[in-house]
Amino acid sequence: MDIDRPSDPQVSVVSSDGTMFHTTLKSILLSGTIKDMIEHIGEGGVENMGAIPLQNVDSKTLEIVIKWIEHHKDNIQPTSEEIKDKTADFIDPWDENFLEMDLDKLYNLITAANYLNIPQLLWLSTRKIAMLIKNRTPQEIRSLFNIEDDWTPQEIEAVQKENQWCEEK
Amino acid sequence: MSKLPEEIWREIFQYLGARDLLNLTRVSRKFREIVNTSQSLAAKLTLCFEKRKRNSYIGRRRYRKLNVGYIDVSVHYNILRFVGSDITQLTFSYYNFKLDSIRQVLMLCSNVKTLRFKEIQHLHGVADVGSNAAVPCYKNCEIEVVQCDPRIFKILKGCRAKKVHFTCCEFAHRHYFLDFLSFMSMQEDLSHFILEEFFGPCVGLGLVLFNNDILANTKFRLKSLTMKSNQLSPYGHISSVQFFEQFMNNQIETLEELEADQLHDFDFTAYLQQCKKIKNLNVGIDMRLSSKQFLSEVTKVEVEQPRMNLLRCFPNVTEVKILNTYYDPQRDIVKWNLLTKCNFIHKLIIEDVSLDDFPSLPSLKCLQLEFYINVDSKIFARNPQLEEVTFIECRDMRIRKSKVLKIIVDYLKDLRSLTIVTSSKVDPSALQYVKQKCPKLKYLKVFKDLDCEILWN
Repeated sequence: MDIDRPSDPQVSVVSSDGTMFHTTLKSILLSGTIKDMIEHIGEGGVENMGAIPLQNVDSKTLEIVIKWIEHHKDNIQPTSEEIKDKTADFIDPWDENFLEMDLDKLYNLITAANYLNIPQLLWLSTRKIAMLIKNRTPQEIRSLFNIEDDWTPQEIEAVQKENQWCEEK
Repeated sequence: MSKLPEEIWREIFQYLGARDLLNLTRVSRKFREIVNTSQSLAAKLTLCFEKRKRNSYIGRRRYRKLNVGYIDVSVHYNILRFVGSDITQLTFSYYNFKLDSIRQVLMLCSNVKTLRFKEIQHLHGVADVGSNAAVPCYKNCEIEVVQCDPRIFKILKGCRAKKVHFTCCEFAHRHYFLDFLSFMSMQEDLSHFILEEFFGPCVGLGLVLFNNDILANTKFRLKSLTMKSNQLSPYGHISSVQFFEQFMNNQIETLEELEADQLHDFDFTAYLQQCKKIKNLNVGIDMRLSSKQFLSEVTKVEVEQPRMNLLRCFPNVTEVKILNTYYDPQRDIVKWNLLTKCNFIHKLIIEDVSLDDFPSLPSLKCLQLEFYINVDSKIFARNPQLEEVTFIECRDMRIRKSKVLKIIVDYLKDLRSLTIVTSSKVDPSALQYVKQKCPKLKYLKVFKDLDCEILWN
């Protein structure tokens, strides 16, 4: 066992497109999915374990995920309970900055966080999308997510009728 | 958006408030479906509004009560799609509504048991609602209409109510009254009907009424009828008495409770033979009732002090309330001796009328005195058998100095229950004295007001 890092050995993961990434055990354990895997290997397995293959995460996304878990390995906020209750309100400025990315990357990040079971990262990224929806009109939301207007003329009429009813003075 | 699975979207939507969720339902079919099918999003919507206090939407766990005010009619429409079927108490209150909006809300709430309309002084868009427009058939519901535009009846006729309470409806036009009549004609299960402050200055009201025969040929049979403070103007060609008679003719045989007033010169005597089931009678001052008739079934009577001679008609009465309406302490002498003819009086409630010459009534066990300035202690000296005594706002009870209380307990050895409602201060030592002197006393409570804030237990 390495004397310099007695409790935090190196671990490797491989993305779906074959790129290998190195990180530490403590960071990677933030992922519930990988934590389960490692627990099943048993005693003494971690050092001799080969690279962990992650079929559902591509290299670009995995890079982002690793950046995030390495930053948060010692200080994870908010707690899982707070996320469950949706009471967490505080966003770390680092995270705020970290999430500045285009929607496609954000989608991939959400999918990865979901697959890897990293609740805090999933919380941050889904919340980010929710913030984008907030205070937008239906048309704005459509163009934001590139959604096609799939209403039939009858439905539009029905919705309009409903709106008319809604906007009654 | 297809890049994310539905459950992720549902997670994302959890962060949003009602206004944004509402917008999402208009974005696309898929978003609409996600919002509509999630119970937690519906709950979120309601909770959100509760927090902002923008309306009085009361979100219990299953959203049983709903108040619809003016401001959030729009949002309610969407909320109601989720929770409409849970709602059992529905209230509309604001001065201004569109008739069709009310109808649409009602269509979404299929299980309403209590329906209230309060102070809707102006309904608009009445013309848009066709004559066939009606709401779901709420069975056995209770309807309360307080101070509303009577055009509300245009949509209510689908309801099968068991209890109806209308207060302060002004029928400014005879067409409005026709809607009311057609509502009444649809009722089959109605058993309790209360009509108060019914105004009818519309010309030809009487003609409408008599040409329709609806009130005289109703399908329902009432158990309880209250008609109070109704003012029908002579322009309507109908008097309150005629209106009342139209109603009574059909209902008299099943009535168990009747309360009516302002029926000047209405001759109740003619109906007495038919009232077989009546138990609870509140006789108005203006009603004529021959004191030679006996109503042996009546057990509960409310009567104004000057009409106390009516008590002769009720030999088997057990509960009597004597009101001090029209009572003039300078002029009127209360004929308390009339009470001695009623051998079964168990409970007596008296509003501030003089207690001079109150007799001994061996059957009397419960006595409630309301709004007295001076309580005469002789009443207790003559009735030592009293078991329950209640004082309500008897201002000079002198609970502080405890004089009256001490006298009372010296006479009432069988006292089991003493209740005092007072706004003045209470002297605990006087109450302790009462406790010591009355060994049978089980219940002694002092309330600050009728809302039952307990001062002394």
